[in-house]
Amino acid sequence: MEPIKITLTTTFFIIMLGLSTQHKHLMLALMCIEAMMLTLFTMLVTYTATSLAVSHTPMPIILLTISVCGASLGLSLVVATTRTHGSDFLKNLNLL
Amino acid sequence: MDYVFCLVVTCMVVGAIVLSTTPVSYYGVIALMGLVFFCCMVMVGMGRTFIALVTFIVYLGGLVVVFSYCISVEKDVEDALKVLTFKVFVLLFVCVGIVACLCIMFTFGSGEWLVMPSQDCFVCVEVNGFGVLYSCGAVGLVVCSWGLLVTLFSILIVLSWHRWGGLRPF
Repeated sequence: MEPIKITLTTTFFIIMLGLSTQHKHLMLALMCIEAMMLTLFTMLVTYTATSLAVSHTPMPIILLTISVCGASLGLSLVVATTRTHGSDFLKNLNLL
Repeated sequence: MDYVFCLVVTCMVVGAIVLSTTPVSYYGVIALMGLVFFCCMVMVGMGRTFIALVTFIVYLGGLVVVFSYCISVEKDVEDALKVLTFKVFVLLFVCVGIVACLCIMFTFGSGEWLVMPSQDCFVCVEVNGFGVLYSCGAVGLVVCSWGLLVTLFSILIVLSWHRWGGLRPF
């Protein structure tokens, strides 16, 4: 179980570096945030699978719901940017 | 089993690297779908099949929308012949995959694919665990539905649908 935790943490940091060096597309930044949420979700599932606590089992579903709320708000921001400027470039966002 | 796990985890890291270095957005969608698939494989390998299925369905539904939006933003024009040959190839691929799956199921049996027989207790624990949302952990359910409702109204405000009526051309 230890290599899985190390790999999940490595994945999280790789995606975080990718998010911080993402300068062009807003959509790719949103996808990086989504992938970070996914690795956090997998970490939580790993925790509940190893600890076998029954009352902690619905926690991943709650995390998934909250992350879906955030992702849909980001998508609506992309839609608003595309409607007003024609593309989803991040350099247009200071005009929004 | 350990080597399969190692392969899946390595593919997960490769998908993360591809996602964080790609310049084109719809390649990023495909890399993210691969990442989701391998994360679900990890969850299945730990015996959590139900939550892996839920995650895969949720991310698949969301990423189809994102993928179509990326394609519509890119504004490339393709000819119809290329699309048709692509469709034919995809259908051939799916048919070959289905036939291969049926062959494997008929040769090896189909009983041990989703529910692992050595981990029946895990399945019982998981089913009982998600029932907590409806009995004792109702606060979590209320918080989730409240968040979804707030998200709905904030999306309506961000897209400014209160000024233009219900239908607005894209």
